[in-house]
Amino acid sequence: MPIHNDMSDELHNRLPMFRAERGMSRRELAELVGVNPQTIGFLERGEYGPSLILALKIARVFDVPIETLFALDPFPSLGEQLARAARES
Amino acid sequence: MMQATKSFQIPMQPARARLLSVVAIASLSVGYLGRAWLGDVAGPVDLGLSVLKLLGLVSTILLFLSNYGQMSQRREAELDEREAQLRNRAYVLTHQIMVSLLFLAFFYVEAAAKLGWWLPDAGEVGNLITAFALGSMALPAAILAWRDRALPDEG
Repeated sequence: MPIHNDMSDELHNRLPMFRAERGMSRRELAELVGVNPQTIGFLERGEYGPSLILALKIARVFDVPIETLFALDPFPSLGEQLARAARES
Repeated sequence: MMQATKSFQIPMQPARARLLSVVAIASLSVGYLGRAWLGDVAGPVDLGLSVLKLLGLVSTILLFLSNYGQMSQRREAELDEREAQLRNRAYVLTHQIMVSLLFLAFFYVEAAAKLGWWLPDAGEVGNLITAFALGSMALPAAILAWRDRALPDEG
């Protein structure tokens, strides 16, 4: 029986941002987690959902919890995050 | 690809592999099925069918030796999880197409025997089986080429 819920099937990620911050190329990240660089490209564009193992490997490379990189809901933009941080401080 | 062993392959861009797949499938279909359907023919038709059969055979072999053909038969450990998923989907579709063709052929043979339609003789069956075998060899690579969405390598 199919399972229905209200959760999105779309997986959002912050991979490009984290990769850019670390000055890491797709190829370098791909080598660290053992995939083809094209797979990193598809991941970043949201055109491929990684396995749990691959997501955990990527999170380990950036030394962050997995939910910092991947989420079912869209991440707030950097501008929104800065505005929120400014309001809170 | 992960830990890919160095095997001979012809590097091919998606567009070229797609074109080759169309040439292969069309040539196999027209060349071998035409030969089975028309039987013994002479002159330009005979020559044309022979050329198409040869073209189908060569293009199938080239497609099989391409990066897409080699990906279709690489060990699971040599593919990353996305490539393995693509390859598995290509095999599932190939299986569905070949099984559908087989069932269509069975139905046709049953109907043809009762309705007096054309049925192949032993030699013509050989052409049909060859087309079927070469088609099943070309299909996984063709499907992979048509589904490939190459991204620019941004380093």
